[in-house]
Amino acid sequence: MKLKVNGEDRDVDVPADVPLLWVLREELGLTGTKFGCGRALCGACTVHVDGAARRSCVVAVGDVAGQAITTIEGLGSDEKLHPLQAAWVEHNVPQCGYCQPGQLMMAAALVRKHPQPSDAQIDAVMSGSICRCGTYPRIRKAIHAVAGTPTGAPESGES
Amino acid sequence: MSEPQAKRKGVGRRRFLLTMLAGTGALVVCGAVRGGAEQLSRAEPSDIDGAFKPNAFITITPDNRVLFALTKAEMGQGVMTGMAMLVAEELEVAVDSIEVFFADSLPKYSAIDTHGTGGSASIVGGFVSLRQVAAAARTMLIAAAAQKWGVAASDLRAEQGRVVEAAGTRSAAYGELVDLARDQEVPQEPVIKQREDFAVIGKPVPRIDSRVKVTGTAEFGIDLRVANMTRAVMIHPPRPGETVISFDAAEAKGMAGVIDVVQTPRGVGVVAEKYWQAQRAAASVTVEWSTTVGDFSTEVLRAELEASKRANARVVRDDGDVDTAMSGTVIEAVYEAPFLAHAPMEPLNALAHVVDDTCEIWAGNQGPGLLQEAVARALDIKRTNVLVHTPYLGGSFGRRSHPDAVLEAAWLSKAVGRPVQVIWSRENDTRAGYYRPQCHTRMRAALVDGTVTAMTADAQSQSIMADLDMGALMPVAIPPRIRKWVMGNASRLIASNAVLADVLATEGISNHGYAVANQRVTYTPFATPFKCSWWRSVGHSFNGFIVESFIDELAHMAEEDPVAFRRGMLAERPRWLAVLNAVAEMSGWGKTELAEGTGRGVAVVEAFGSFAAQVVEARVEHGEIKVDRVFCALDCGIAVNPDLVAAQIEGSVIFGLTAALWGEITAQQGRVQQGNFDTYRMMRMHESPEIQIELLDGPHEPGGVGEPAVAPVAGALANAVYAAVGVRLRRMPLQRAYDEWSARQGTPKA
Repeated sequence: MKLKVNGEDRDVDVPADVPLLWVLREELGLTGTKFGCGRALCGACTVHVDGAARRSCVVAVGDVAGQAITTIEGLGSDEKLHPLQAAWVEHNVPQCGYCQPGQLMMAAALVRKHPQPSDAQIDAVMSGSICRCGTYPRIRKAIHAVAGTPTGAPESGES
Repeated sequence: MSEPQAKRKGVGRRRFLLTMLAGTGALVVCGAVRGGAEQLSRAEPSDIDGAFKPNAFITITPDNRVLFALTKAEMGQGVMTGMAMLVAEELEVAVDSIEVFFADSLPKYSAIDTHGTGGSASIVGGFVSLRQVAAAARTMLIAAAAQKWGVAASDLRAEQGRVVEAAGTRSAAYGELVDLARDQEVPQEPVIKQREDFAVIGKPVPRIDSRVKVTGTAEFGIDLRVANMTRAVMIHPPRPGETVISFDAAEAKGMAGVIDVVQTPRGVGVVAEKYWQAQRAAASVTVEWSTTVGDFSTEVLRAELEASKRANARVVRDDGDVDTAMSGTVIEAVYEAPFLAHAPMEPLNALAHVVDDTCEIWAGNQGPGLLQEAVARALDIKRTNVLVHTPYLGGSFGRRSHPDAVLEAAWLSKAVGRPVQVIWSRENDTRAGYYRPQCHTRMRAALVDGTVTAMTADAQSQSIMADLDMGALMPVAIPPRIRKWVMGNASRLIASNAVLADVLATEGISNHGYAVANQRVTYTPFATPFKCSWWRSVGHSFNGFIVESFIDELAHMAEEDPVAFRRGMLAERPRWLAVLNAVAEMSGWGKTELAEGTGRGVAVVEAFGSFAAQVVEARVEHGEIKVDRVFCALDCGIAVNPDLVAAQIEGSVIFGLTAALWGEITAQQGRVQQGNFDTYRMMRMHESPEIQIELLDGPHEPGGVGEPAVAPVAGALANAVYAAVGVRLRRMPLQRAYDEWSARQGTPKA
């Protein structure tokens, strides 16, 4: 099966119904995408498929063959952080850090759709991702910092 | 074994585990060897030729690298940054120039502190000792320069990784001094800085582990890989304490990638090349379980505790003459809290490799020594033949101090002869026990003219101490014969030793800050099929709720403002008063009006050597309790890193609110009814309140930071709900208590 991950063509030999999460982690060595619940309840495994945030723990790999898959490893690099990653560092967002790849992938999908998200738009998207350490206030600040919007800003009017 | 380490890398990309596969590169496998003291060990990042190593913790290389061996688990609390700051302060180097690596389970790392993490004690314990360790290195480097230049050490100082001559222009980088430094005398009492000289401590230094955590390169236990490894899924007993009678794995063994299906003392392990293969195979395994524990139910337990005569009650505290003083207006209330699971976002996992009579472990943990002891006993090998590597922890909150997943990996590795990584499902993680204990506490107090003249607490909870592995907690030096005897008699010893068993069960209730002349606290332990454990803030997690709810009830009964009432009872407690006054001020208590239907609740606790006061603003909307804002004033003494302290408060508030509102592990007919996040609810972004924080800057040395702010939040919330809607909720989780109250009123949710 041919996959397109972080801009590279990759071949994997697995049944089509294996969850994308485990293909990324165990076949391709991309361990930045995390296992948290296995049932699309926590968001730790979030990746982008053709630009949309998806829970890789419940996506069958066969369903996304040929589509553009982006993981946290493809969002930015240590040399060139994505603006959200830089804001996460700036605001000391991570604690244990385990959920943060998923949080960042959700946030990246959010700001792509709503470049200047309101608090309500942040809530609507980011509430899908659980952080047991309670980093939500800093995630909100970091997203606002990247978007250049103040906390409590009104709806941008986009849907 | 002193091969130079691989080339220098950034903090997070350092390869602190030699057998790990780095990225998609080649395996670096390095055979385990016996050290001089028959200690299983591997090369560590600090094994660098020509380096200056004044002690086990600090390494300075000829090319000016500074390495620091961290003996604490980084589970989110920021200890890696905090400890590096203590080193930087005394060694006079930049915090972000220090290469921190996680120390393996070697005896040398227990020199200044236990090689374990808990009790919010890392910075507390390291504040002097770790600075002394760094100051010793600095002193020896200065002495080396003094010798080199033929000047007095008192004419030299250290700054920015160099020794500098105060009067002249000479200076030398630390790396230039390593050979001479090695020969200097190790100072017995290194001089550490006075507070006014701190240049690093007290500054909001950025976390040094952020970068690896936002790029997905931080390696947690679940991410670790070694050569030839396998993955395993565990089928745990459906009810605690049950064991395998038989199992049928005929189909599973024929499935792709499956290596073996193995019975262990903790259930059946399905071992395969890949996790998804093990997971699929596990679904086809059928197991017949013993049914030893019957139909344990938490609802039945509640009723039993309510009816209990507490025949085994032990008196924990008895001041004055309670029996005489308990007269006049006597108020009585019963408070309850449920079992709770820790639910770290990284499900428990462990990688083990058993070879002959040795075992190597890679697993997030809060105490490598605990794992060594447990594995040694389980495999009947020497403790020093167990080597534990500690990666980043994806949360823990107390849970990873228990060796259960590690034991499973060790048994399975021994069975299949290959390294095995056990990865628990979320359901495994939620149901495997070591819970925060369920409790039932009856409070009574006498009020005379608005003054509390007597107060009693009769606490019943499962003993955390009784479920601890006492053998594993004992120092290595204790001979095996004595160790074995203690292990065999631990429960009985604890049962006969009230002090030991009661410390955690009644902390916060036997030592609250309120002045009451006549007080008695009793504790009655009970046992259930569940094992109990410390859970972030431990006894304070329920006793903070109990005491602060009850004081609030007394305030209302006395028709006094809850803050003013507390002030009156805390008059002799300056640190309590200071945080209480600070939180009242910042929250506008008694000054600013809240919207109709919103209430404020206050709570103040002392826990882990710090003082925390909180005000919660809450309301009830369509039957749902909503928390709008939380204010917290904390006196943790010197805040080594104020921004990381603030982060811990934010996290503690959200962690505490999750438990206060929704958290409960319940059992019916022995089965845990919660499994995944749909049934074990976590607070999410849209539900989390605005949090405002004030740190009180006091003269005291550091207190704990990771746990104290968990303790007051449930009580403050219950008090806010009472202020908002006049309903007193005495049982956690509060949302369930509110729902039951609503049902009794016959007022359906709107």
